Amino acid sequence: MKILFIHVDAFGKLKNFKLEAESLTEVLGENGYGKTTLAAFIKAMLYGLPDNRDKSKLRKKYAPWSGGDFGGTMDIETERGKFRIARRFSPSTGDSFELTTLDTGLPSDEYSENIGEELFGINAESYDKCTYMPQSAATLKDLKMTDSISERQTALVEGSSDMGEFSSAVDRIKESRRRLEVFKGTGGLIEDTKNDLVKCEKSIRECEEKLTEAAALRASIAETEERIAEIRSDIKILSEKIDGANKLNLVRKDHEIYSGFVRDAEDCQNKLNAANDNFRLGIPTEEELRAAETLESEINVSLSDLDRHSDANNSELESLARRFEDGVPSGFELTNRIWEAKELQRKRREADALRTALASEKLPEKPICKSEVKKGMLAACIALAVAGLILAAVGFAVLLPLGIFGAVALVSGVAVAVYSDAKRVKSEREAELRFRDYEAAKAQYDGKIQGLKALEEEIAQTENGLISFLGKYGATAGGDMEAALGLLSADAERYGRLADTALERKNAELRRREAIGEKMTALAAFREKYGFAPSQGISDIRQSRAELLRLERELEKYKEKAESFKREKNLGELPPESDIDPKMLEIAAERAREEQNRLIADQSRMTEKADRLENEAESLAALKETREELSARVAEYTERRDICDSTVKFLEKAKENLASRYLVNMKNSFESRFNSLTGNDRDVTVDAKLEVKLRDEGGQQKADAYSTGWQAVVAICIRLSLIDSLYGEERPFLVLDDPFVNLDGEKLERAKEMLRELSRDTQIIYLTCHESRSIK
Amino acid sequence: MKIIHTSDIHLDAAMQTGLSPERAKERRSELMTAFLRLAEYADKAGASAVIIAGDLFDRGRVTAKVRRFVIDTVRGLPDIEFYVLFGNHDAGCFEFTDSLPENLKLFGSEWVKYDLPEGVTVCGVELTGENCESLYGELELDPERVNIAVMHGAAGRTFGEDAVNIKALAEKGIDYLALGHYHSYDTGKIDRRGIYCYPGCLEGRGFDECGDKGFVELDVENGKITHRFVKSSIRTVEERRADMTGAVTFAEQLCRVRDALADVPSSSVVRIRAEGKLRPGEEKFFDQIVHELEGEYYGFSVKDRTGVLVDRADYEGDISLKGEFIRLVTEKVKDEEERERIIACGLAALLGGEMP
Repeated sequence: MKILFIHVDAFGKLKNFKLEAESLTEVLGENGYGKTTLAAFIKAMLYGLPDNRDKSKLRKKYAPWSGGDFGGTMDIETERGKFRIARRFSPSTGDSFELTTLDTGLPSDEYSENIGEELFGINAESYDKCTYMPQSAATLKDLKMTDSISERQTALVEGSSDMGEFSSAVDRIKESRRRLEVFKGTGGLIEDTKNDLVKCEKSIRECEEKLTEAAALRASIAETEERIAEIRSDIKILSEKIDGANKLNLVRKDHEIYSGFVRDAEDCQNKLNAANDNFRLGIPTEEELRAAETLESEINVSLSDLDRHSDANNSELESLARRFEDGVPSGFELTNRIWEAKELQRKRREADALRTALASEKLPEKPICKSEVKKGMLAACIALAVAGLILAAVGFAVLLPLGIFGAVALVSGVAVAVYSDAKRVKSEREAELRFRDYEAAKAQYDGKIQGLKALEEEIAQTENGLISFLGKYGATAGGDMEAALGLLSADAERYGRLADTALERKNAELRRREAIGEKMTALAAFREKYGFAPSQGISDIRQSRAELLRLERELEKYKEKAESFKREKNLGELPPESDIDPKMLEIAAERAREEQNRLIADQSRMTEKADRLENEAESLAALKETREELSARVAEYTERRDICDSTVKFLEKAKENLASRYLVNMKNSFESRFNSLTGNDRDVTVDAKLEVKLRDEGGQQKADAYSTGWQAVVAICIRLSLIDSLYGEERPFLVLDDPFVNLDGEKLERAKEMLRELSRDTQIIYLTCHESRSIK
Repeated sequence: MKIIHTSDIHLDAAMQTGLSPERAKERRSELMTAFLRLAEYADKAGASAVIIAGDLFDRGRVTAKVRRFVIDTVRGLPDIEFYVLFGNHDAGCFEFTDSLPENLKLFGSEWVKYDLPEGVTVCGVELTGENCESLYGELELDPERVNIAVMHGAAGRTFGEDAVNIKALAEKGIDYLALGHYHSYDTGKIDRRGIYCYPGCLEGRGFDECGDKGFVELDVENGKITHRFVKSSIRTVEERRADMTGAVTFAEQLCRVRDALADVPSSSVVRIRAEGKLRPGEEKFFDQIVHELEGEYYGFSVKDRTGVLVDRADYEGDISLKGEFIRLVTEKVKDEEERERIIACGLAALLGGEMP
């Protein structure tokens, strides 16, 4: 890489400073010229400026002294082309970086704002040690191997770029490792997971303790169950004793009841024995008794019938006999009389009808034969007509209306007269007719009256005949002859029947009495057979028999009752009275039940608690899964941490190996440069840490033990050998800020010659403030 | 007569499949469902008995909820006898439990025998430190009956609290030794007469319990006993290997994973073990692959077991730090996995790749 042109806008004391660079560019200026500032500017173009928090305070140091844009441009040439770097440093707006292609003037992204690292592969710190040699640093003090130098060394040897990532690789591994476990203090996935594991273990222990406690409760529950069982057994025994005592009492009560039945049976037996006295000769059968009852009943009924029939029938017969003591009317006679009565009734009705007709008929008034028309009427009409005539005649002559009125009167009078005459004639004709009718009606009426009288005479005659007939037999007609005759007929007939009946009855009575006698005999035999008193009624016998039978049944019943009770209750011997007081046993049983209930309640509480604990411990399986997972994670994380540590160890070792391998190149280069510069073959060594040792007078001494002149020589050679080992074709420039101040004349000349030689393949920007040290 | 043989149900156990807490909770619930399904199967098949050869629960102290669930399930099938042997995880789980159902039969530290109809005897014993040698001599069985023994432990030829000495059980008249302890189906011979059988667990809980899970159905007929494995797991746990060597793009790596999962149902809990070697700088897209596929399976994860493809010969002439670093690690670190991880870490750091 080469610098082509530098333009400082404002940087420290430099303002609008321009420099065209060659392969060996010398800047000769007095002290305070700004040479160091220029070197710093070049570095700032490549690496930027650290912010004000940086300890070096470079930004503040190189802020423009006299205003202007803080920054500038630098044209460079690399293997990729020619570019212009432009940087501005602004605390208010922030720093800016632009890279443009010199050929086109267009922006380029070939390099980023970390152009220095990208070009040289070393960081800013290492840049100071390699490409820039300040005057004050021409010692070995600050010349230590940095990671960046070491990385670059190795990368440059094989031309690959992965070494450029070494630091970041180690950082990445360490970051990964820190996530797993911090190097100091607490934190990291391993610790966090272990903490989680501890919590999980604690939860598991708590669950297991709960299960243990639940198991203990279950044991207590089981013991309580046993105790409850014992108490149940005690209660059972007490109950059995109580039952026993109660049963004993029941048995004794049963015996009492049984004794009662036995006593009842004995009473019944006694009564039966007494009842049997009435049947010493035997007990009549039901059939015999029924037969005796029938006989008795029939006898009584028959006797009663005898009495009733004789009373009732005799009185009626006697009464009828008195009525018909003069003879009984024959049927023929009665029939004729009844016919008469019917005739009589018919005639009565006829006479009634005739009377009714006569009553309703009214003989009309004798009619007048004259005309009804009044004579005066005709005269009036004639008068009217005349008047009308007169009036009309006068009227027509004098007054017309009056004449009209008279005409009307005339006409009216004439009309009425004509009408009246006609009417008179008609009326006279009608009157004549009426008179003729009247005479006919009258004749008829008179005939009817005659008939009625004749009829009434017949009626009276018939009535008298019938009344007389009825009276003969003590009957009265009242109004209804027919009915009376009917009654008479019925009575006559009845009398006949009664007489016949009386005869029959008498005969029957005789037969009945015979029968009664027979039945009485049978009944008496019955009584004698069984030794009953003649006066003893069959119903009494029956009653006694029934009582006897009842007593027998009752006795059977009592015996059966007693036996079945005995069987049912399985009564044996009467047990002796017990000395166990059931009441005391009840009290003891009650106490035991209370104890049982208390234990059951305790058991229930314990069961509830045990269930609750076990339910709370249900998460145990899930916790164990979590524990397993956490344990696996801890193991995995620990393994990964160990892998990270091993990887870092091996990487660092590899780096060391490489570094030490490439140290040879650097050592050879250093020796060559050193000898070239000093003209001596000194035994000098440099280690991987850039520690230089010189062999002198039999011993090895560290270079920083020598004079500053020698240190300057060594420092120069170290830098050059570093560049030789670090860079291949893409060699950077060197900025030497008056590095040879401490060299003596000979070494100074050798150094100048070395620089001229070096400038053939390395761009050198040489800053000095004294002509004696000018290279050109 | 049908009998169901199961074991190692581990109700309420923790899952070891890296599922989210919600999915892990679901799986624990599925364990209980699996037990319920087994009981329903037994009922439908007309089984007379269910033998649970140990580790019904995951630990000795189980929650009341889980204990009640089992008791209620057993009580709901009064026609089926449940023979429960406790294993190395769940001893004492029914201790202090009141009113166990009548059809729940337990064993103890001495042989307990139950005679079933059709000439079948079920006997079992729980191994302890005290009885693990003496119990074999105390077993006496009627050779005329079909004898089913129940134990929990590792089948072998030694004595121990967790060991079932098959040799010591020979010629005892056992037709079928119902074992528990191993979580995969397996059978073997005891003697000329009998066999032993592990039904495996009902549901896989970790990636060491991959594949189909279920129980064994026994059929006793005419004095003979036959058995068959019945797959019943709600979902399987599968771990498949995918060689990532040469797969440098996301699509290629995804394709390798999909090929490895070709026959895996979407209901499965899946883990891909990424193997093979990738060159330095070649990216691993495992996070993206998880993101791509986690919705297609009930559970999906990738375990990175890939190494770095580094041929020392390639770096013999490499004088860079990278070459020096690789040579150093290859020379000094003997453990291959550690070596590959250090190299991968170093190269990722140097080349600016993603830090492992």
